[in-house]
Amino acid sequence: MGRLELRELTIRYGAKTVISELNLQLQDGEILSLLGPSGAGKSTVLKAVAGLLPPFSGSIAINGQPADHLPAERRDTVLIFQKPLLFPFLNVGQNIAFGLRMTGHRGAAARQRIERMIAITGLQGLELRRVHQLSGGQQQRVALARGLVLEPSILLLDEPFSSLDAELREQMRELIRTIQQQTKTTMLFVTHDQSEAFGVSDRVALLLDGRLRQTGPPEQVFYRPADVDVARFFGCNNVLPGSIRDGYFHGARVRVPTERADCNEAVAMIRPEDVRLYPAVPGSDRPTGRISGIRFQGAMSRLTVTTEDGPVSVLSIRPHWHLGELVGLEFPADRLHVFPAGQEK
Amino acid sequence: MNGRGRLLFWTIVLSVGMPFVPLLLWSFSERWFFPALWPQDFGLRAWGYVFTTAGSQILGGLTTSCLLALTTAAISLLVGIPAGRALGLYNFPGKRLVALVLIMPIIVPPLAVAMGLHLWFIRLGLAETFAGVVLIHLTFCVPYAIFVLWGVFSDYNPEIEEQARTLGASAGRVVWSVMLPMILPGVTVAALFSFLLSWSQYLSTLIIGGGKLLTLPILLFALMDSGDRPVAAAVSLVFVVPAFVALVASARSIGRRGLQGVR
Amino acid sequence: MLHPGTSSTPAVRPTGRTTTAGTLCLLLGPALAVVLVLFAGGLVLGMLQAGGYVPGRGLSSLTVEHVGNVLLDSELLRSFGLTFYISATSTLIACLVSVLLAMALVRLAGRSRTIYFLLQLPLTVPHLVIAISVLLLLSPSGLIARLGVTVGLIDGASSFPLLVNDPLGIGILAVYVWKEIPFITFMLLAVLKNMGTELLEAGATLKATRRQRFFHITLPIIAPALGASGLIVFAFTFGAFEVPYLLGRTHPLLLPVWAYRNYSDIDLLSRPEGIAIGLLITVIIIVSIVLSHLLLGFARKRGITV
Repeated sequence: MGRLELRELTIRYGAKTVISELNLQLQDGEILSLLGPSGAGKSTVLKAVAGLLPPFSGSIAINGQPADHLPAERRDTVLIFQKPLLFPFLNVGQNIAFGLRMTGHRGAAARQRIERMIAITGLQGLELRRVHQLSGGQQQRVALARGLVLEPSILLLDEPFSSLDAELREQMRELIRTIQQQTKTTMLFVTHDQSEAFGVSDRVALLLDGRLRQTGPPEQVFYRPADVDVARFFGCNNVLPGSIRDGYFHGARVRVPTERADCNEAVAMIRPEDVRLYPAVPGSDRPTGRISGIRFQGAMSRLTVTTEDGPVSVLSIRPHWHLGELVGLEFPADRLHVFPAGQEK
Repeated sequence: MNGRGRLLFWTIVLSVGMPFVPLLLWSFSERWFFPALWPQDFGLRAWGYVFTTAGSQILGGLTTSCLLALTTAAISLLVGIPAGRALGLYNFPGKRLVALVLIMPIIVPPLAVAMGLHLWFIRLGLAETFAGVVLIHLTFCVPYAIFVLWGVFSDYNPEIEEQARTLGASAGRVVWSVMLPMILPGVTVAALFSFLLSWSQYLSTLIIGGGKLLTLPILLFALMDSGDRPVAAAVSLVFVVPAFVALVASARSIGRRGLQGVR
Repeated sequence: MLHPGTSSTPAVRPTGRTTTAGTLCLLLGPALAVVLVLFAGGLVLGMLQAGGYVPGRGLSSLTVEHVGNVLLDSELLRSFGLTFYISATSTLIACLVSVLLAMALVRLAGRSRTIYFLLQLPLTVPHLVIAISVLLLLSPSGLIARLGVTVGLIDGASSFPLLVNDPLGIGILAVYVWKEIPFITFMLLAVLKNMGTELLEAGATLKATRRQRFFHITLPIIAPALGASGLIVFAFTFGAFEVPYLLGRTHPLLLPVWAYRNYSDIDLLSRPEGIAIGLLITVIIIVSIVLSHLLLGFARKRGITV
């Protein structure tokens, strides 16, 4: 249980600004994913919150109390790293007990906390194992138990499952949710994997180029991107050029209502799975194009349709089109995201 | 560097440099009576003695020591590289025992071994000869070379040799053009180890060489007994220089690994 | 055994490659020949001589008389005690300083190239040269005494404390400490660099203070390297001749000096006794190797692979 508040957090490595003016709040018992591509500075934020890296400016408050002056060992946070970083000279049980030993917790109460964590993380029977005898998934679970046993206000997780294979990662996500339900620990979860962020968290915060671009529930950031970059990050990669006049976006062959202000250069973006294809009707003023590529990807196939506005990417289930065929395209108005073009980088 | 870094730096400079101060002062002193802090007269008598009066003897010692150390180092590599490869790359029954036997002489002093071999070396005509002293030096130089090269080969991936073979290199070519360049830093360290060990060896050289094989340490000991401090100091410095040169010359090839493990 | 480069023991690496017995014989043969014939052979011949063996007269000439003489010598215990004291003290001091030095150097990180080079210099300097230098520095007429007189701390050579050929072996300790600190430090630096800062960061976020991080993380990680290099230093100083010969007292003698004195005695009858003392040193050192091996094996079982 705990609240975290980051205000105007700016972090620099020498002259290079890694994070600029980050504002973020975590509510009691919430899981928030900090999502962003590799190198966006996500881990840097976690290290600053954990007290392992001094920020350049801004403040960090835990449970309403400023924490900036506290070294890592006196902050009410625990950081779980990408690698398990278990102590090789200690066995599983001793690893989990490490933090309690450091803080002078001994005896039956400490024993009980350790046993509870071992039960929650499913490590029963492995207490006496050497850590190098464990599988990767087990090691990361020990790391989780080792952090959670300290009952921190905020648990910070730095891509803790990125070294595990897909199936194991799925199990670990479930475990995180279970742990969260049982312990109500507030968690700040860093990942570059969208599905992981969506699967684990209550809210997602997207970090691009050191700046926070959008924060909200998973569906919101995914379906209602705040700007062109956010849309692109989530795979909304069809861009139709045009302009905005009198509350409408005008493209070459599309016209959709928008609430945005008039603007000579604008773009409308649409997700590949939202584009619909029809058999071409000769003489129609609807956009048309020719299928120039079909790539089978399993459940979906990715089609490339060459139109006069450039190529359009379409995701389709069991497509019955073939290469070179002329097709008509439909861009449903409620699926188009309109942005002024100046925003695009 | 910050203040603490500078303090550390100068402490190390002072500690490392300290022993060379009296050696330098004495080697250049002509008259230096107690309790003067500084020699009353500076001069080149000691150095003149070293390079002219006793020049042939000192030069002879230098040559003998160098030849001895180089021969020992070369043989140590010849024997050590295959053994290091076997220990570093392969698993075989009895490996731990073999490793222990091969490595043990690093720690066990050559004292008892030299004493034990002496009588038999006399009978074999090896005592008081260059070859005999090389053999006694090999007893501790070879294990040290193996020790270093074992570590080198356990970081070595022999698949690169198979790759070279598929690209048309012969087995001999692979050793010369692939393996040796890959392990060169380790080989340099091993050679330097063996060289330095042989170079600074006194007692085993004295026992087997019987005072007939005049290496630098043997000459230096004799000078200490004669009590001529300036000359002993000058010869001490002569004794140090080739090892310095060997270190600096190999620094490039050794790279960042440094001389870790030398003693 | 510890090996340079990385600090992990090669034998436990999962390399798992195998080769034919013929190849192995070819690779290991020459090395085993050198070690078994020269080293082990030397020890066996030494044992025979310590047993009074005379080549012409067969094994019947063997006697325990010489070994008995050594073991019953009233000097043995004092000599052993002094040797042990010198080795243990110099090893302890060198280990302690090396831990502090290695920790400081690893924190300096990239800016320490010059320091690294400086620290490598003592590794190339023969013990004999440093012993001579210490004699010129610490003897009653040495540079330090002269400095003392010059600044008025002492009246003359006679009021200078005895630091060479002294009962406490200060001069010998000074040489060994100067020579062995760089050796141990470089051994530790390899482990510390390998360890990096991640484990310490993990420790900090798990509420370990600086002090606790040192004692509960750093120290356990460097313990195998420290133990091994410490034992190497101990064994070396226990069997080394030059330094105690130049800087030690004539009574009681350190074991290696005593061994050589007997061996080179004009009276050829004391030669077997010299060899017996040499073998005694060897036995003590082999015991310490076995101890170190057990210790490392134990550490390995506890999972110390870093």
